[in-house]
Amino acid sequence: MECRAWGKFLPLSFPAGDVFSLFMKQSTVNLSKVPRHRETEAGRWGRVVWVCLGLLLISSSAWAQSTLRGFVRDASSGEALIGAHVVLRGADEELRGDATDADGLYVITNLQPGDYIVQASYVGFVQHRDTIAIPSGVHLYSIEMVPDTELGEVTVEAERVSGQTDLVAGQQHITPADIRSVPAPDITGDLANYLTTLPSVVTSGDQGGQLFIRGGEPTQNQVRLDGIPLYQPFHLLGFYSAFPADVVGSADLYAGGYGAKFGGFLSSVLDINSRTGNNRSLEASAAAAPFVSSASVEGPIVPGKASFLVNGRLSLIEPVASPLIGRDLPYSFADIFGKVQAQTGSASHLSVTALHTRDSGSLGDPDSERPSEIRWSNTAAGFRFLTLPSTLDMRGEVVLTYTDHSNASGPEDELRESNIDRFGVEFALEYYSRYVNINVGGMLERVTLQSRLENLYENFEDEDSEFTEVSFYLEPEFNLGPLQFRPGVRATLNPTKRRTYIEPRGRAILNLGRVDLTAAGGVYHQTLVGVSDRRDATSIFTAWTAVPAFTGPSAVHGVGGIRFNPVDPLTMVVEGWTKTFRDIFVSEWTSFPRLTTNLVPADGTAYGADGRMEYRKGDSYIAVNYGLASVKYEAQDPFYEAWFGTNRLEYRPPHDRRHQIAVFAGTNIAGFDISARWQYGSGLPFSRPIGFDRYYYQGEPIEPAGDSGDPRVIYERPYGAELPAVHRLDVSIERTFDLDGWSITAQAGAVNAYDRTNLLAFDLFTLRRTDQLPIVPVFGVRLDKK
Amino acid sequence: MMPRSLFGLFLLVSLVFVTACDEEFVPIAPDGPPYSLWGNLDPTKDHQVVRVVPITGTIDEELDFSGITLRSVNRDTGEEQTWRDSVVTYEDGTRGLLFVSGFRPVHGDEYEVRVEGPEGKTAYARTTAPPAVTHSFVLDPGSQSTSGELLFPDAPRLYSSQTQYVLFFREGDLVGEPPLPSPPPRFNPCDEVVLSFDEQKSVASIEYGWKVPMNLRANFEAVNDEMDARFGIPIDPNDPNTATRPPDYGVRDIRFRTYVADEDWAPPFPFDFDPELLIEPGTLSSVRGGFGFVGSSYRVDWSWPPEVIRRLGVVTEGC
Repeated sequence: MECRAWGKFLPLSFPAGDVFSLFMKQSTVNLSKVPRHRETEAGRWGRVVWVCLGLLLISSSAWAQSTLRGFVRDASSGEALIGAHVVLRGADEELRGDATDADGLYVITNLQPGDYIVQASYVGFVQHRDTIAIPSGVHLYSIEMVPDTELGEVTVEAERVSGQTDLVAGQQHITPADIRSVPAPDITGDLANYLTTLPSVVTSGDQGGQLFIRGGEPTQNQVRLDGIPLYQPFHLLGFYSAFPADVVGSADLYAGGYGAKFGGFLSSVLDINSRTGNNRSLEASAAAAPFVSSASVEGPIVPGKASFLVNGRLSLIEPVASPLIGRDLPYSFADIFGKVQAQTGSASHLSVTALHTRDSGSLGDPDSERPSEIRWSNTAAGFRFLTLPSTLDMRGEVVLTYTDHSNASGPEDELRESNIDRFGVEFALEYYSRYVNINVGGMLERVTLQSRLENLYENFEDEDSEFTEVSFYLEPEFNLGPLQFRPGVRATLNPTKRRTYIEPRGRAILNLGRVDLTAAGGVYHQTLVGVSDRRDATSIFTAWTAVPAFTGPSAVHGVGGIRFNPVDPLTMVVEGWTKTFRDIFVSEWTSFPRLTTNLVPADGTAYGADGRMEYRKGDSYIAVNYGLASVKYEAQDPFYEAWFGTNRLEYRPPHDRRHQIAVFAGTNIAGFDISARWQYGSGLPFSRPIGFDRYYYQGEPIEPAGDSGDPRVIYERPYGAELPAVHRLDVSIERTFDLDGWSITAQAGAVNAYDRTNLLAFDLFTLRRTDQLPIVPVFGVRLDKK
Repeated sequence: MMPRSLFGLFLLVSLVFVTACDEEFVPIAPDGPPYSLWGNLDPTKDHQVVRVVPITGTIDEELDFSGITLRSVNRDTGEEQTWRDSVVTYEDGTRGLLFVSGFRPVHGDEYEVRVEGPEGKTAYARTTAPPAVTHSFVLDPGSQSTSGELLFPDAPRLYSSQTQYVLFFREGDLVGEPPLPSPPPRFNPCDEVVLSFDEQKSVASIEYGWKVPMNLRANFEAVNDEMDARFGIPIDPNDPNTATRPPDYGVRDIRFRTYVADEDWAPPFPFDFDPELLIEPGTLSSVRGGFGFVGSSYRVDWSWPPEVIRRLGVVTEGC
């Protein structure tokens, strides 16, 4: 028998008779006699709404049957356990189950009323077993699982659903354990550091914080934290983002073909759910390493009901890391995260999340006349309310979000700035039944944009603008035996721009035992677009603007893959993907060696394949990732006819990395956690100059005796050459020492252990190069108070 | 133990890759052309100038001009010209290598200009000096007509065509009182202002040459707008933010200027001398084995008859 959850997709095998023989304790609870939780005012109001909304759905449900649902939490902290498996076994011996989502919620529908044995399992926790009587109707049964300090006796190893091969139709599920498994310059670990190991993700180097996901540009990636959109949440040093492992509850990277729930961006979605904090006891930690220091505090506000979590980090790059490696690293960043979550009833909770980040620094050659100072910040907050109507097979949530993002570049007297202010309201409903779950939702957002670009783009006018956009989606999820099929459609109306998008989407998974076949696809549009001058790798300033009324960028995705585990500890995934982009904007080609440019329309085609292999046994693992990709842009400009004999110039954009390889390994030897990562990326395209001369405008008489002419760069065909390949090895060893109520973790290691000279950027005008980090000795210490 | 063996395998594989992946990075394309040539052989002048620009590997590279020579020959007569080199420093501090020759190209003859470097690398350009053409003006019929066509029969090409309006300020205005908030240049009675307007986009080909249609009255509206923009006087002197009007000015002369050029002086899109288009190396180049442009052209001037200018209702006398 198997049970699976959408997106987790790891089959669980329960040998009949064995699983339940492990029961250490059984109790029988008659749910019909369990006193209902005391309703709050919000709960009563919510019930009225839900009853009204659900009347239509009630008529279609099999009312004589039962639904069991609830939250699975860590008994020691009250936090949701994501990916825990809950299985019911009834009198007919049939197993029915579900895996918990990011809220720790499971839902098992279409049960016959009667007695069931319920079992919940999660790595590192004592298995929960109980016997319950389920009458007809919808019932709540939440579970608190006790951490197993001994580890191993009753846990199910196969339940570890994450890892490099946890890739389903473009969706990569990421856990804090995954993040911590990658060697990093500090103990805590960071989501950005993990993302750069994925074959779907291309970076221009270990500095800049720019992620190109399966052919898309950084501004075409949507990042959401607890539903809050964030526009540049990655820090200047590529190992770091606003999401340290201490904050992340789980994350899903949709590298393509994402469902109808998401919209507004062309390439990918990174959907992050933050932790809620411990609502049972106070915990604190502090860590220091050459690049960052961090501190975290969490604890109960109302014990067992409400919690808080605060995490802050401050970079130490300039005062510590820079002298350590003897190189000027003018980077500074900080972030602070806070969250409060409260259970407003046994079937509802609300949370408030807030985040502030700031970055400043300079990429490229510090002696260059071409300024590359950059700074950006994010201030964001969100409110989320989740509820399970007491009599309906539904869940619903409402999210209110506010985001303020600004980025700026250049000296004060020529400051280029671009700001986004966004306010949004979202709702999402999910109706459950045995064969089909129906997801519906909507969003209203108001976006205000301000730009001051100092003629960075000569045909792009600074103007403050704002727009309102409304979206709705419908996405049923059919569970037809081994086939899960999730067609969807998203409709977006933008009255400001007088535009309407209808975007079909679809995802499917076919489980054939040890083999899963997956596919996904969809149509995507983007109204809020970011424009960056990609001619210069150190120029990461982004001008945000709303697309004009008459046109807008769009993309079509296709993903198809196979996932299989030929022998049990070994899992392999091969996934092919394609994306086509229409009406995006790129920098115009010119031989004027200047900092400004024009924007021209372009189309893009990207395709590739990921191959991943992971062998995991006990504390040891090895994973090998290979990514093959090809990205081509076709830019349109009437001048191209004169220059290249065609008015559509086809070229490889500067993020077209053809090959990526990442190899990871980790083990535990004598209590020391040892991990290593080797990463290789083939060369990125660049426009190679033939040389430099002076130019005299032929529209006027050429008078070289009195006129020096204009400097000119003579290029080969645009982006026709390749930068050198980059590769490096990172290693880390760490050990945790437990003391009375405290733990101390010490770490040592090295980034770029064999001191490879990897190119970050090359100033083509002066032939001066800026390299990525040399060998960086890593050492750090972390103190945790439990 | 299997897992530890795997970890060792990982390190071994990594080291193999480390040693196998070094490669040489060549940021500048090798074997590029050595020189760019820039010049205009003017058959109406007795000395010619051609600049030789060595193509360098960086934008601020120190230039080495030693051993560079320039030769030219009249390909119709076989006559060779003598050039002497001269290194100049421009106002912007950059240095340039100029070659100067004291000869006057013959209308209709083809010339080849060839540069040779110390290592034998060469580049050359060929250009034909345009014929001497006579232009004529045909005024549209009508006693108050202010439009017509300027004809250039037998001209291979025209470029840099423009009309210049030579204006002078008259007394009677609030001279010297600039409007706020952006003060224009101060002016005094009888000060002259020259406004230039591009006519190149009006140039049209005819069967045996080129014509330039011109409409003085239509163009003069642009002159008035420009004078208002640059020297506008507030209509209400007590309120500098109010609307402005052009100052009181007269017209000294309206003259047309163009260059008659050889056939090669032709941008890829007819009449489009957009610098953004032309700067791309090779877009408009007469140089083989290098970049740049050496053409041949000469200037032609023509002035509107005063009686036609007066039909605009403007003052032409004074000062």
